[in-house]
Amino acid sequence: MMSEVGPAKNLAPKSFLDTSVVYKTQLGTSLMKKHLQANVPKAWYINNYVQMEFFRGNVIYWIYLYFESAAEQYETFGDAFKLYSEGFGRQAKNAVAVLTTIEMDGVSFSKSEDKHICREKLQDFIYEMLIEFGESFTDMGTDPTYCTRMKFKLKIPNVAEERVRQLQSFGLHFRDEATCRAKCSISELFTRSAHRAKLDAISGATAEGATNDKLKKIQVAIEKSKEDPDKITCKRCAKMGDAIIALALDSSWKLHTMDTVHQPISSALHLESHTHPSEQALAKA
Amino acid sequence: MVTLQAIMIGNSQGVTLSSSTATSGPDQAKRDSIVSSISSVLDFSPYTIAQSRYSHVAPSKVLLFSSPSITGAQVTPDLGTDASEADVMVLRSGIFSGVDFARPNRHMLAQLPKVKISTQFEPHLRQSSVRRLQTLMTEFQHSIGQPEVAVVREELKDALLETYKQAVVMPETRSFATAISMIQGFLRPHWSTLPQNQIAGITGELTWLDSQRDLSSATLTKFYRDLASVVGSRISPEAPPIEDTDGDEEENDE
Repeated sequence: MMSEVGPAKNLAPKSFLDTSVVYKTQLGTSLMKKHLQANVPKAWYINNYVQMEFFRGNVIYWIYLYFESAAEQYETFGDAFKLYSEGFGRQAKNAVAVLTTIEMDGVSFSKSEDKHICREKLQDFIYEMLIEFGESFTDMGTDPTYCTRMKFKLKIPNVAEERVRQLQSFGLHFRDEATCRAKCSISELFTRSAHRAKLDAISGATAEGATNDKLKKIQVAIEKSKEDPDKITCKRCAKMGDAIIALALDSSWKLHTMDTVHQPISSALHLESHTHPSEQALAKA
Repeated sequence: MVTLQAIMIGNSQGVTLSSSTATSGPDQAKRDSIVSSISSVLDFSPYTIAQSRYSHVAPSKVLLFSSPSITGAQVTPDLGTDASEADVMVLRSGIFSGVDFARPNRHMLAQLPKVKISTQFEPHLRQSSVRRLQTLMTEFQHSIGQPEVAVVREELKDALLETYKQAVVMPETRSFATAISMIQGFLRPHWSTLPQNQIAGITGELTWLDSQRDLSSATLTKFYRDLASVVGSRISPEAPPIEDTDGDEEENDE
């Protein structure tokens, strides 16, 4: 029954999830998922930028692998998988590593006769992850960069024949960094006083050990960007992604992350944050 | 994609004669070839003539049809209208009266395209598959704690994979394949620990899936949401540590 004076105002900060936590909620171990379910109050909020980072680090590699694996030069799905696992760096390797769970359904990456089924399973995996993403998170509505790489929405089509075309269109749009960069507002972070003051605060932050090394990389990217904001590229934007995510928040939010670099950044911006333990630390606890 | 099929309801015989796309070019030629083959084997003239010859016969026993708007064999109240459409072929009761089925033209039969059972399209594949999976899930549910549980579980896993393989090859059943993939994804990490009430819950969700007219994006999303509410976590790979997602592998960003 509702009180006559109305419900009490909830003063607890809302949960904003950094990309590292988003990844674990989607693809972490059962142990990690249980930890996050228990320690990150719902609703779970993200923004357009976090979504873009998740796609940039995972979904786009799955889409690329889906199309690459169609080539006749790959006798098996595993042949194409190996290329992405070993040929394109750590991000690609991490992204495709989770796909090995597909084999648990009874198909084999190493059998030529299973190649088509593996590709279809990958397509389903992509769309299932998109559904799960949509079910898990709420867009908080603020992305100071107005990143346009996610402008093309990816959603399972009603007509199956449209799936491949949709994935292809998304992949082509997402990789077109020049066009996306021309339409985004990353430059304004360095020209508007409110954002500029926050970036200056981050530039002055300090940390220790490995965290300081990561902070320094962010600070270098910020300083370069200050010199000529119009020359910011998507790659440099990625380098200062943790700072950009923090810029979207104020005291009504609590940032949940697994990245220790958010501690000095949040401290500099007077934000509340919670750094969750790694998989390894959680397993040892 | 248009599937050209003929089904005799009267004696429950069903056969898919072939598949054809579009209505012109090589596909049209292929379809015409199929119709010609049917006519030769069954000893009647091309279907347009057959319709005319037997237009007075009520379509109570033999049935037909295929068009993008028809999802399976249907008895239509207005054969004249339906038959006028490009991809509809009407065979009427009595049309085979002069055919000696005991001695079919074996040569022509051998030339017919590969035969498929008539349940390989929506919603029949979905309905038959759901019934089979529900039966196996019930068996699995009752086998938990029993010595035979592993055998039953493997049979269920095989059935899910087999169903997926069947459904994934045709556009009209592709969404059903996605639904099966969702079930596989939810069950994958939980096979050894599933409580009986969750298995019963999944069986219930299959009933709902079976009751849907079509598997649209919204339907699949709801199915996913309901499975999540029954089973919980979807997938639990032992993912490698992802310490840095910020793209700092390359030092040169310009």
